[in-house]
Amino acid sequence: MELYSPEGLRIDGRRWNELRRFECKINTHPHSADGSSYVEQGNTKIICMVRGPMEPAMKSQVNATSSTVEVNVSLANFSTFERKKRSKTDKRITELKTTLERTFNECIMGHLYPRTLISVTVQVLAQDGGLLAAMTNAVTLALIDAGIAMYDYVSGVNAGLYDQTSALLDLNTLEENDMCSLTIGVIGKSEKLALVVLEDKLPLDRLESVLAIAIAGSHRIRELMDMEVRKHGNMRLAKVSV
Amino acid sequence: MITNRKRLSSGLSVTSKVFVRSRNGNALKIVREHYLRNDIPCYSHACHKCQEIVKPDAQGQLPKFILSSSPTKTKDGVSHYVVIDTNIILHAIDLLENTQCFYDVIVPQTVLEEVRNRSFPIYQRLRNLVKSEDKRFVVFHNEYNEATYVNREKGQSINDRNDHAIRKVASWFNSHLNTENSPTPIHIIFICNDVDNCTKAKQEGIDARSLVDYIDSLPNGEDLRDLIPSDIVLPGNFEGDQNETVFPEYYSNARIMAGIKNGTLYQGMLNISSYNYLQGTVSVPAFKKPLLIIGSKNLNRAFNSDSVIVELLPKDKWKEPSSTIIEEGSIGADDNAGDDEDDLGEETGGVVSDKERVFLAQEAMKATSSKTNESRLQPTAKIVGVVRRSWRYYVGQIAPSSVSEETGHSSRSCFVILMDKLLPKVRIRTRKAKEYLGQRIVIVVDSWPSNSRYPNGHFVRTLGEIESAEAETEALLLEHDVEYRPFSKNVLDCLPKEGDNWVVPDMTDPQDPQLKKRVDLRDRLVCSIDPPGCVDIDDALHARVLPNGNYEVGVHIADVTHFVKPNTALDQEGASRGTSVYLVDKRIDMLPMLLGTNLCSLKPFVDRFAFSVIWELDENANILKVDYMKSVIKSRQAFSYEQAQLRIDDPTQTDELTNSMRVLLKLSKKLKQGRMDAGALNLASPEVKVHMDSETSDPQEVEIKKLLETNSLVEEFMLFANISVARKIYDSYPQTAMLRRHAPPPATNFETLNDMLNVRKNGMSISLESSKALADSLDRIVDPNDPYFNTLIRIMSTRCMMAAEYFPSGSYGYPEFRHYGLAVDIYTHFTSPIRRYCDVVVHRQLAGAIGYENLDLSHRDKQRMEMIVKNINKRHRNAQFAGRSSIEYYVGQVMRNNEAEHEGYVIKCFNNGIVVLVPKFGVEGLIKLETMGDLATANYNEDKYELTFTDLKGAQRTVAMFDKVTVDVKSVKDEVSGKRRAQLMLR
Amino acid sequence: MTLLSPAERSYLRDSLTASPIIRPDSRTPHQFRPIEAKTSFLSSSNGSARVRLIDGSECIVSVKAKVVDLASVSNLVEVDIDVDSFRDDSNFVTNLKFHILNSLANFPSTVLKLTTKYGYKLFIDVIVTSHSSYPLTLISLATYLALKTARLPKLVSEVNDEEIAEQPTFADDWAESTLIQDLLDAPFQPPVLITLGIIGNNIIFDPSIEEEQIIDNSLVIGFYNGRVITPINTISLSSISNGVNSIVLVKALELGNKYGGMVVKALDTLIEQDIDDENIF
Repeated sequence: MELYSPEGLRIDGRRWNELRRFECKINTHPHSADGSSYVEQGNTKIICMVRGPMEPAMKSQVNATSSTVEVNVSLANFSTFERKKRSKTDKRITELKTTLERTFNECIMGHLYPRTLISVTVQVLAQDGGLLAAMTNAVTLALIDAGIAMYDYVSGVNAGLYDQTSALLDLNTLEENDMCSLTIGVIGKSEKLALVVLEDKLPLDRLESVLAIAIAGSHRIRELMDMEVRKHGNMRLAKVSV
Repeated sequence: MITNRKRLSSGLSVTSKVFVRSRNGNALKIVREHYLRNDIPCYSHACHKCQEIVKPDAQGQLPKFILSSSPTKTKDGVSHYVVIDTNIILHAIDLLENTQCFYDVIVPQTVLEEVRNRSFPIYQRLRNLVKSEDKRFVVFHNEYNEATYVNREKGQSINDRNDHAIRKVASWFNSHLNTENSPTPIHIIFICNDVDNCTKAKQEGIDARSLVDYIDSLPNGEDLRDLIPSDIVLPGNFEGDQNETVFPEYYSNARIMAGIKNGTLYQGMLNISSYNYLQGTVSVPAFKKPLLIIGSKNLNRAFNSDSVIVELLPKDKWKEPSSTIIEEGSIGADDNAGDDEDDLGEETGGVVSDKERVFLAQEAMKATSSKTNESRLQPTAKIVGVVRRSWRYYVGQIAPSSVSEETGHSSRSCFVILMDKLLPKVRIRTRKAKEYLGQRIVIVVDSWPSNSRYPNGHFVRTLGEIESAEAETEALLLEHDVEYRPFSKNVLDCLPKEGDNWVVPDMTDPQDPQLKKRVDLRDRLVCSIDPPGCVDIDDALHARVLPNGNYEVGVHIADVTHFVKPNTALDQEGASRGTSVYLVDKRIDMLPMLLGTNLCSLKPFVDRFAFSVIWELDENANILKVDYMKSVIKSRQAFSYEQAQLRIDDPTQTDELTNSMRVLLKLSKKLKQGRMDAGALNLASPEVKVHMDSETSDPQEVEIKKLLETNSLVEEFMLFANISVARKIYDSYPQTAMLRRHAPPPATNFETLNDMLNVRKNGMSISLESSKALADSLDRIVDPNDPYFNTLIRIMSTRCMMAAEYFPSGSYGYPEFRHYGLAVDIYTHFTSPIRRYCDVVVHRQLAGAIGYENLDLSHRDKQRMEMIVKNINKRHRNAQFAGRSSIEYYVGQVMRNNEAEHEGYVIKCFNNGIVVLVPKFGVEGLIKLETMGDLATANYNEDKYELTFTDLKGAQRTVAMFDKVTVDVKSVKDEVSGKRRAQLMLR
Repeated sequence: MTLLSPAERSYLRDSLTASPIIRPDSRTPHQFRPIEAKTSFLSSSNGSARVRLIDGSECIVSVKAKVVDLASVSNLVEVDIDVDSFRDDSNFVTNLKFHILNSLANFPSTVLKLTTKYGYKLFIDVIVTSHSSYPLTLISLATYLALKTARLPKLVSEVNDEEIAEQPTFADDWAESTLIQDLLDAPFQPPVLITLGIIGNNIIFDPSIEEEQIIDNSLVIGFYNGRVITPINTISLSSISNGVNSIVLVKALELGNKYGGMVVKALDTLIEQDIDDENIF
């Protein structure tokens, strides 16, 4: 299959700068967590639950000045086309966990919740590319739902470079397997990045074009997330006011 | 299953494609997103509406509208576009490429994807047609277009669904271009050969026609009739009995995959024996010796070089390899093109169970790994499937016997005998058979159905009279898959605009930062030594004595990569050609002449860019220091080998340049000695040079190339440079450095030769312990009465060697880098970038290694390098074969004028003939027993490699391996194949 | 883990041992808590189901089929359970796995055979995203739903591959896949596991987390084909563990027989009414 045809169309029919279908819901698990969200980016499906701020279970997690963010990532055995059993200490899972912890430690106003633990559970039900980006979005929404103070949204998307010439936005698995991909997490409406992950090789002179389209994509995702948050807020408000 | 469609805020809607993929016996449920849109234009100049909906691509460019607003008309004056179906493309791609027809063609995306899945090369040709724009082919992405997307109905096969989608494209275009969107109505013709599909299309109001009907409707239809592929013209309508299955059917895919998995079927490449076209071998990793395939039924329609699936035959069918010569000409010479006769070969048995097959495999393994030669019984097999056909353009001529005397305009079947004698005759249908007699023609093979004795093909074009130089040269190039058409405009546009007036820019005040990195070596006394009349000088040398008594030696190579940048059309064409091809009278360049003979060529008296390797060497040519740099040089003189030799030998010449040449010679001798001590091989191949008459260009004389000291001088330093550069690029790019290796020959290759030497030459043998042992043992194989004998054995040894190959360094471990023939541990080709693509890659890697320029990612990517390497290995082989064929042809022409008696040596013995090598021409020929004596009384002693017979005069005669004989050499032209060859007669 | 104070404990005990029983959420003794469920939302699995209780416990089950060589595997159904905040090798999880696997011992494996050599192996993956009361019933219900809605691709190559091996090949159209139900002659009803709580002489169905802490013992029974079947296990869900009276045991089984059918009927109705929109919520 032509990953990016000369006519400008990709294998799923999108153009170079188009996002996949992005759908999200917040407050999906009102009784089991303080904040929860569900994100679908294309066929990547993620449930996120946040508990906290709460008493840390272990003494080692107590930080006198700020809250501690603990992220647990779980990739379901059935999340890929071929079932694969993963252990919780898988290297890739550990990397994802650490990346998310670092990102959100910076973005949460931790000084408001000293000596507490914020526990984030990310459950991946289906993977089709853009995993880290979708997880970032899910965590942002869940934290907002939990009412934990953050500086701004962190919206994530991935972008890649095809054939060293064309930048493509929001890659799915087939595209990710075949070209280098860059995942970023953008803070709010700015161009500041809370998260940058590149696992392949990218020529330096092309970095800018890939980054530009990725930032534009992230802004669009932020808009979509914000719409959902406001919609949910309005709904709650309508229930309350009598 | 109704797949839901969701509309997104961006205007797209998305649905999902769910299907089951059967792979390795597993059933995987695959789900993919599928986006539908409304902004795909129709690409027609005649349409107003689509101009407004277009969107730019990743480079910011808007799609180009290509389809003409006034397209070609049919005989009835109807302006039309063509929508084309998959099978038409697969069978008649050359008709689509023909400039006489097929303009303004719409290729639906569904069709493009089907073509890509069935044949990647044809897909590439189709894409090239789209890219070049002069044929006005467009790809319409109907699968992503909301208006033309078609859902699969329950129970509908995927093919039917695709057919529906393709028909929808035709009807969509019809309605789109015949309403207010375009001022002039444009008719859409849907070309499809499937009767069912055509009927449905007509019911839907589409003008659907078969290929024949369409061609007939064109004004120049008559001329194009012949070019229509055979299968399509008359599906299964050749005369002959269709019901009789001549060949067994191939096994189904499912059965083949299971068979390979459980070890009862094997995959390999078919090699047809050059002496017996009804016998072939397939090398399979599981068995030490290749499996024999004997008989046309077991060969089951496979061509030489096809990738095939084989199944072992029961033990009672195992045979010894035939020591009989069989040529295609003798069998089937009288077959009628129209008939499908009864087949040759035996019946194969009934259903055999898998258990029995596994047992058979074990027996076969035992038989092939037996060390002793007690039984020559080799396991035989039959072909049960073809994985990949090696079909390409073939050159051949119409067999005169297959053309009937009747005149008339109807198409008749006739046979085409191919130039490649390892391939069968091909049946084509043409109206102009008589016209094409005596000409070399190009054909394409379409298919070989199981009920046909011969494969079916169709005519493409004619090259000219047989034996005319142009036709023969073109035939040769086509047969060896050499691209010889002139460079396209895209490629020439990549050359510097100044053209021949380009000069090296001012070095004293360089503005260009790259120029600053070049070293100015114009003060060095550089000179070049090449064959006489050479205009593409890619290497030059210099030497000087350093104050500390050591020598500074420099090898300067043409800086081709300064002009050939990665990812340009020029680079892609060079990469595809892979190497320059040298024929006797012609050179097919890898890169345009402007570079090869002017801008890159290190011509004397003028500044030129170069890539230099500078060593500091001591008296004994040991490396004390080595440096690599991009430079500017000025060659002082361009010598031929003879001129250089004369100059060095002349004691009256004492100028600096000559002295430096003497230094080079001295050092080169030291280098050579060093290599010989390490075990480098010195193998001879019968290289000949043909002298042409300067006025008539007729070949006159054949000369075996002589070697002078100066030949060796240049060769040694080139090797030296190649080795140094190999080390440097491997150091910087351990995974992807472009290197060249030569694997040691497996002992089995030398078995027969050693046995023959042992039996006939009193225990002489070739040692294979190491390359040094091999070289030394070869030195010892001398016949005191015949100085040529040693050369003969060297020639035969060359044939037992493995071929050297290019490879990326990540493909093998360091010990496998070894170049056996040169006895070095790491090697590459660096010194001829004008004529070899490998050298171009090495230049780029070296430039990256010294920090001159960033190395392009394609030379750092292992997979891309594997693809490049595969191609250049293939091109290198083809170029060698083409060169040899060219020599053979001209030698044949020389012998035409020079029939005489010559000395020859027996290099192969059969029970019905011998093969003799004639050193003077470097040519070998088969002498059949019936021309030497009485067949009936002949006796072939296999163990002693002796053939005894009663000769034509009635005397008893014995000829054996290595015997020196006298032969009459005559050049004859075979009437049937049109091939000229040497005919040898034993005296 | 909600800890109950002694007062609460005493209060609950009194009301649960009373006659008639008074349950804290005013359910009748045999009434189950309401569940919310969805099926077939994981497009890359053969079958999927999600079940949630109003107390927030939620369980997602996926069924994936893989073609295996029948000679090289011992069982054709494999279960894997992942409970949030529990290690995979902990007793809690292992026990759950054991129970579920046991309940599937009657699975009609003949329906999974494709040819003489090859057949499907089902991998049932369970994720319990959150739970308060013992999740066994929850998991069992979700598994029931996932198995009933699972579809297997249709085989198109030779069924008889005794003599000549053929790689199994399947119809590429997913619409040709069949429900397990359609491959069997008899109705396909995977067993369900029901949890009962025993307190004094009273029996309650589907104990909530508060109830679990008070009851003397609990019973897990299987329900299949309209009747109670093995496994019948006692498990202790709290710190108290008294024995089980044999009379109470027999009464529990009778009640199981009487009310078990309703659970299955409810699940089947759920499947019928489920809209095929592939959404998880």
